[in-house]
Amino acid sequence: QNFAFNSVSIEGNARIEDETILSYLGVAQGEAVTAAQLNDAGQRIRATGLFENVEIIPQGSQLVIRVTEFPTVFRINFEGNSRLKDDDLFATIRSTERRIYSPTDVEQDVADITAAYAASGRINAVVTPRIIRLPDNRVNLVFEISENGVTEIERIGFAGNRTFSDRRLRNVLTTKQAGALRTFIGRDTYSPERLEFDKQVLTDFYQSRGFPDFIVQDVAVQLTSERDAFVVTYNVEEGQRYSIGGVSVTSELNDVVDLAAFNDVIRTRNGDTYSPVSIENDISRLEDLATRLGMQFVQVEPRIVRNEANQTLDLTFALVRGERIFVERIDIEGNNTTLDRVVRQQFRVVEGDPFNPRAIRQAAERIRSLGFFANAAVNTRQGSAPDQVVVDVDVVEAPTGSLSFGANYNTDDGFGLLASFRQSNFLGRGQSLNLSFSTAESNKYFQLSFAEPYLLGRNLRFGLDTNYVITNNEGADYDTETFTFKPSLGFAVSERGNLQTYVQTRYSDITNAVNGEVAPETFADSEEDGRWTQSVGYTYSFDSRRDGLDEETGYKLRFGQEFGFGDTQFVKTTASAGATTSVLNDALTLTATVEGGYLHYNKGDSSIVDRFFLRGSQMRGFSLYGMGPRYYDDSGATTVNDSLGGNAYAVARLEAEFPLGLPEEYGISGGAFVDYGSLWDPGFDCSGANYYYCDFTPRTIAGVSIFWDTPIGPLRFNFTEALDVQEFDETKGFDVTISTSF
Amino acid sequence: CSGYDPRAEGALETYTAEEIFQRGEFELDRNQADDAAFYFGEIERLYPYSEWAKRALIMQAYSYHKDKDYENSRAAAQRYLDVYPASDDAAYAQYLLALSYYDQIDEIGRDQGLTFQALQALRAVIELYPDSDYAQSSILKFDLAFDHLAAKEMEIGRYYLKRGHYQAAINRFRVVVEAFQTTSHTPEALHRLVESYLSLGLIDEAQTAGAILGHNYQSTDWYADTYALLTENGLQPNLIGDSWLAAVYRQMIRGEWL
Amino acid sequence: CVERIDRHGYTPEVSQIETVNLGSDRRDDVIAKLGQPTTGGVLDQGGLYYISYGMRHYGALAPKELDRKVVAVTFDGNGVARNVETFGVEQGRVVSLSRRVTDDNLRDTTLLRQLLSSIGNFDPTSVFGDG
Repeated sequence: QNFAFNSVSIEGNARIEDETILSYLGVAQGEAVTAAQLNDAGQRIRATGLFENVEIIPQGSQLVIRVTEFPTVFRINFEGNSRLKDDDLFATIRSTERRIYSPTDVEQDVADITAAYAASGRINAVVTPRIIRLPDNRVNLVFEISENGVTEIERIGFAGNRTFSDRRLRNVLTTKQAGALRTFIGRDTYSPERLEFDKQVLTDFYQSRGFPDFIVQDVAVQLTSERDAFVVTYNVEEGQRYSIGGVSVTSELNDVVDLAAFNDVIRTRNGDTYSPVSIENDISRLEDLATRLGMQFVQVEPRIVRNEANQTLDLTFALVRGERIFVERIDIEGNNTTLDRVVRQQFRVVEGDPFNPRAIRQAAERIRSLGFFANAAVNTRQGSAPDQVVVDVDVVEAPTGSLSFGANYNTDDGFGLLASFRQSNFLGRGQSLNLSFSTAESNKYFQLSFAEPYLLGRNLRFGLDTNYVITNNEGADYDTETFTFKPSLGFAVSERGNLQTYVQTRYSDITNAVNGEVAPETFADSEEDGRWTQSVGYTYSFDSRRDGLDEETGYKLRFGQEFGFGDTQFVKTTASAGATTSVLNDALTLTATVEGGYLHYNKGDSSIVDRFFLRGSQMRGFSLYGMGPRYYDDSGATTVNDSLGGNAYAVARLEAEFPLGLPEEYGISGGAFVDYGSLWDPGFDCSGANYYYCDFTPRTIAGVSIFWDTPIGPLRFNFTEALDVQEFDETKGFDVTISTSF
Repeated sequence: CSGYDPRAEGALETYTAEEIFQRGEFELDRNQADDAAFYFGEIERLYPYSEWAKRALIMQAYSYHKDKDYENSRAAAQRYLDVYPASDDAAYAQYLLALSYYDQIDEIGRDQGLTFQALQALRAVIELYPDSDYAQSSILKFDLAFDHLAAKEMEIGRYYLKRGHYQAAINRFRVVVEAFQTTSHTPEALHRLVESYLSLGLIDEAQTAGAILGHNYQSTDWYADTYALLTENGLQPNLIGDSWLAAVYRQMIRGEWL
Repeated sequence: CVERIDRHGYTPEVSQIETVNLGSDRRDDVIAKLGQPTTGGVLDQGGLYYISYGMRHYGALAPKELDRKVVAVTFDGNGVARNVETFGVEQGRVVSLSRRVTDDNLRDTTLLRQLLSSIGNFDPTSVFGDG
């Protein structure tokens, strides 16, 4: 039957107003209402979650709504939690102070807190909520937590591994055995998801070393007798080790294809061990070639035929027609200060182009290597039509600048005041600006360097470096004053090589050298007044890892020449070549570098300021100006010890970097190195007395280093031992520098 | 200053809701907005049933907003809407919610995602409370936010146009002409379409775009440019007085687009 | 120097273009046969245009467009395909772009704001130098 009410009375509500309840009731005055509709109205009020219970009582022409409100939460606190702090727990729960108390929320909170504990390794933590009633329908909410004990992993073992040792496999896994510092390290606690992830890591490790059939049969996890730690055992089945048999390319496209061109792009050769990574690299080389030849929508599918007899895999790369998908839009979000174009120009793909996932991945890589973003997620979703795709770029900006005033202590230059403003994303335009000056008492300088990597929207890097340096050298008894101004243009000359061309004007002067306290030639240089030299030059640099297909071995080449013209004409040639490779399954990294320079004057001659001096990064173990041609005369009252620099230098460096067996989380690894090199030819005849080491006299330095990834940067501590040095060289046994990657 | 610490446990218990409310308003006038927000929050906790609690909640949202603490302002406004959806301040709460997104646009001008959220929140104010006095200023802010989105499409369109990717530029300018006709960018979008279609040789499309521009925006500079382009068919090589060096100065130093 | 040529856009092959029968196919039929158009006309009943071209990047030079191909499918009043033309860059006009920009009243990051926001960030190379 149905009702019609001309008045409504609401009882029991204190905080919630009548109009609020009426607005949810949805029944107008005098409106005919069936019992079912009345019931729905009640349901709507209950759904607000504001009331403990709701009764709808029709009394003749009046509708009575009796509600009891949920209390409001006065205070929330946690008792018994030590591993997870209050703030972390507040973040995980939904109930908040001053809001309505809701039992469903509290239930969810208990579950969330227990899950948070399980994720941090305490899988048998217990959480019980307690309510303390207060007057005026308010409550205090208390979560009582008993954490009882961390469950760590005591030992990780393997069964069925014939080719690789337990120790080697343990290094591959992300979950670690509980070591001496177990309380600090989080990764030795047992967590099921990480075990799943580790299974995948193990499979990838084996498959990329020639075991296509490798599987992890199961992972046995037993609790130790004292029930406070786990023993985890992976039993695996390696299967046969396969190598590559025949390699060929076929085309299933209807238009004519020059297969030979595709064939010689492939690097996998007959006899290599089977590795998905090298096949993936070949696929990307083949697809790049296809796009370069203007073939659209071509995808490469690897087809593998296994012959058990001689354990080889025949590999065929099939060129097939992919389906026609287009990039509809590229949307960039999260760039608060960075301009849209700075991110967009990292894409070689343009809106409307065919969709090529590899190109999108390479663009994502370039965006991340800009160094402006803490996180740059590039993913695709379907556009307005099934064959159209929208590329979403979500970036989170990271601080890209530093403004520091302070002191700078450097083992070579002593102590000094320093102000420097460095910004690698100046005004969000992707330009870099470094402005710094230092008043270190042995080395005052003002330095500005600016770079615009995409001049006029082209892939053309404009650079401007200028500095003004005054030094009163400890190593020698004269002062130098130099000013350089050097605009440059750099551009890519090939996929992995680029060329920088520059013009430079330079002023150099040597002042207040006292005759008798310095070498005669240096004193002669200081008598002449300052000299302006103009020069043009280029530097070609090649890096084998620039195209992103990083093989294990990488090599670099740098070759530069500077031509002085005008009243002093010279050719300054510098070159360096280096190679690095990792052996013993990426445990040991060997790096070899050869570096040299030659300064040849056809008009005028080199003054001390123009000549080469070897820096710590070129040859270790010497203090500033510590080696090379030298004028030494202790016959007079004061001994004269003046390093003359050289017009030529050559250095060879052999280095090895290896883990010290400490868990990776400490970020500490060890290294050893040998430097062999010389600096010679001061540019004048020095056959007289007191001149030493003017011709090629090689020095050898050996040393060990400690690499440490500290929060403020990767530091390198070098301990050096001079194996073969000259009498008057000034060596030093220890140095700290920022460790630069190869 | 005074040893009295209002945030100590139970310090405010002895005061009535009204006294705390006045203290909150006093803090607001001294524009200590974050302290004011704290006091209004305390009223809600100590006297959850009073009329003061309701007014304190909306004042709390306002104080957080004044203090540019947009997260808390949004939370407080949302709480008000949950508990008092039918009250007369609900329109203001919804408006504060919208402002919490909109006011951030100035600081983070470049980010498109935020502008979108501001538009949705402003539309809620306009649709749910059309006759409240906040609807009018919401409409104004809605148009401005809408204009920001159009500006973003134009910025990307010009990026592609300058680099000679005419089809990508056309697609972006078409979005502005179709989805953002009410914004101030439509005349420029139409002129850019003329430039792009002419560059591709699609003459009749260029003339269609020029006709629409002439019909609706006859008096703009953009129509003057289009008229010049169409009549001389854009044959003059490049702008007079545009040297290579001037281009470097404009783009690298001043950061302009061309 | 080595040149890099990026391929952009898409134009259907001649064999596909021939399948379009003028006078009867409508817009959806053409899209089904030739794929999504690279761009369209100003108004809804405008033409469907497929454009493909290469961009040659060579050292410091500005990227240069080469072998542009435009396939234009135009429709009559009631949306039936009227004509399919194919032409290259020769029909394109050299257009000087107007530098003016409609102001978007968005504040750019000023130098001062960026200076203030980077106070206190610590840059290790300033202390340890690069040796």
